[in-house]
Amino acid sequence: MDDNGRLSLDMIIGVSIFLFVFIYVAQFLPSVFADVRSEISLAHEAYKVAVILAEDPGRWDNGSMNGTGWENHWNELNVVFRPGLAYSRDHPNYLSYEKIKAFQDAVDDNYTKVKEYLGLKTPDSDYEFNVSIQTLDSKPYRKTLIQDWDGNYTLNAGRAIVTTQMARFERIVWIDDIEELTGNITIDTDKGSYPTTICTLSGSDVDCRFNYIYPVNMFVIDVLQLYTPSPTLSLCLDIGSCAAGSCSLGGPNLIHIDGTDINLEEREYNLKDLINQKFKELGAKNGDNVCIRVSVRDLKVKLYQSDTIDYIAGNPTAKLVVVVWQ
Amino acid sequence: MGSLNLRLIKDEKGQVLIIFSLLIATVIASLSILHAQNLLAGVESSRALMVFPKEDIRNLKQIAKNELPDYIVFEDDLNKQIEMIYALRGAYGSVKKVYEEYNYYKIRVLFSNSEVEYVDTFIVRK
Amino acid sequence: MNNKAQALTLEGVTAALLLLLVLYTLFQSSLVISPVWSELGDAQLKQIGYDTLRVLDRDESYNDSLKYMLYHLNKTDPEYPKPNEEFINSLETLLTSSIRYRLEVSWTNITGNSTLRNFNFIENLVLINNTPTPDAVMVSRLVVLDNRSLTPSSPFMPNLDNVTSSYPIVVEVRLILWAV
Repeated sequence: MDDNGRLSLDMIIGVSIFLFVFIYVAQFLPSVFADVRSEISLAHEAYKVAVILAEDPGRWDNGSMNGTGWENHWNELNVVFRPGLAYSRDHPNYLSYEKIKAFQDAVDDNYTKVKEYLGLKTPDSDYEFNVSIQTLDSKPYRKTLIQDWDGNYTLNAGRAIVTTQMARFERIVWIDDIEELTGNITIDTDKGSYPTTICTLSGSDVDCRFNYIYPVNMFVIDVLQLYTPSPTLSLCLDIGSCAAGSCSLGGPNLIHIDGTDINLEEREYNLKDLINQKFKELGAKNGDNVCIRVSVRDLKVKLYQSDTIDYIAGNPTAKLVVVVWQ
Repeated sequence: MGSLNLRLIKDEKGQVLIIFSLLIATVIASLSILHAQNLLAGVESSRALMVFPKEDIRNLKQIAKNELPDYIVFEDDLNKQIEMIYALRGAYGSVKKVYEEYNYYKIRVLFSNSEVEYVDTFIVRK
Repeated sequence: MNNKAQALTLEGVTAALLLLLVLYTLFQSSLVISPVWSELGDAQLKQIGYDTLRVLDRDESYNDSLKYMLYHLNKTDPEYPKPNEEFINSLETLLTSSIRYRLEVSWTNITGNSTLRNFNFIENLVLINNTPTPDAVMVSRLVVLDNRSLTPSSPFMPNLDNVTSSYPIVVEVRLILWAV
């Protein structure tokens, strides 16, 4: 061994390489753990927000009064609230239209405050979110949002989604107040009332036209009252733009749909499957423009139709999508 | 040959190298255990949210509120069927009437599986 | 023979072997766990399943509800035990085309009369027979049917004498889901 008090070059090079690598790895590792950690907790945050919104009616409190009707009180003074979209505790996933709109307004008004109330902004962490109500067949790469009857999106709250690591959780929900989504299309031949933008009067019959993209999502006819002498309803299906002229009415007390006849009673008819099947027989392909012409005689009916929302077991059904990222 | 071996054995150069390699191996092993624990923590808490029978309990409460009042005469039969079906999954569920007045029932919902035990009593109007 | 640096090489080789052995053992053992996001995928699928069953569990006046489908199961039907078309359409709309499913029902076999009833065993019926993948999840919901609304050839009909008031029949609807 060399006792001369000189450090060998090999030793210095070896030790310095070793120390360099060691310090580099020690700096690098916590960020690896943090990435994995944040990925785990992102998923939980998304799940938590989805549960809070879909299953809880929310609560508001201003120190002296409180309740679950936060949609009426959220912008008052001194009010803290927990946003929730459900109608009540007993009916999870059944969302109230007013609460949806109030949530949209609250987020547009003060995004950071709502983030705090949802538990996404704490002293340790700060997440961004985006909550929207989408159609059941909406995909992450082809988002289709549910629209109100006036064309506005029903719910699209929060920041625009960025292309970074995010967690996404979906819940299937149904929304009350179907007319906010489909519009109030009431046709009463007795009083001569009908929506003038889509329907016209010809004699004492009312003709309406609806334009869609195949396949049709919702087409429900609620027959409220049969008048005399010959209550009839006819549907004509066209591929492409609407054919000229009104749909010919057939015999009384029947619903005529392009050759098929159904008994006309005072009840609700969900005609989506039948109409889509007829369009398929006529040769319609996914994405084609189609037209449904409706002729009504001696009836009081309500039409529920939408290009976005689906009608399942008597309720307009959609998907609540929560996306959370950092 | 023998002297070569002896010299090799008595040679203490390179022991530092071995010690450092042992140290590195220990560090690698402990870091990977740490990493695995990290992932496990996520796995366990994900499992927790999947495992809690939130929907089963809600189902029982909904049966208690909406269906039990119609079949109150056959309350025991209803419970026996529920118990048998839940027994197949290793759980126990029941909806029993504990008290009755002229305008309401007091109903107790019980749910128990290997991890969770849940009891809730509430009033259902007739 | 030049014996310089022989020992160092041997130690170097030993050190390298030691490290390689440790790494090999670690990677072969189960300390390296599969990604965590697969767990979340399961939680999402399960929640969609529960939500689907809840949306479909409505009043039997809607022809795509669970109760309507169960009441209309008929042993004499040539397509038995296939559920009605509207129910399948609604179910597939809710689950979307990227999720495959298998649908089963279970109920108790009941015999007896108005004073004493025996609950003998659990019966199973497969309504939609697809084969699940190993990573499938199962969701279930209990539905209560009224035996007075059952058709005589319904599979759920209990064997009871002299029971005139409405008798509850508990049916468990099981949905097994997997992603494709």
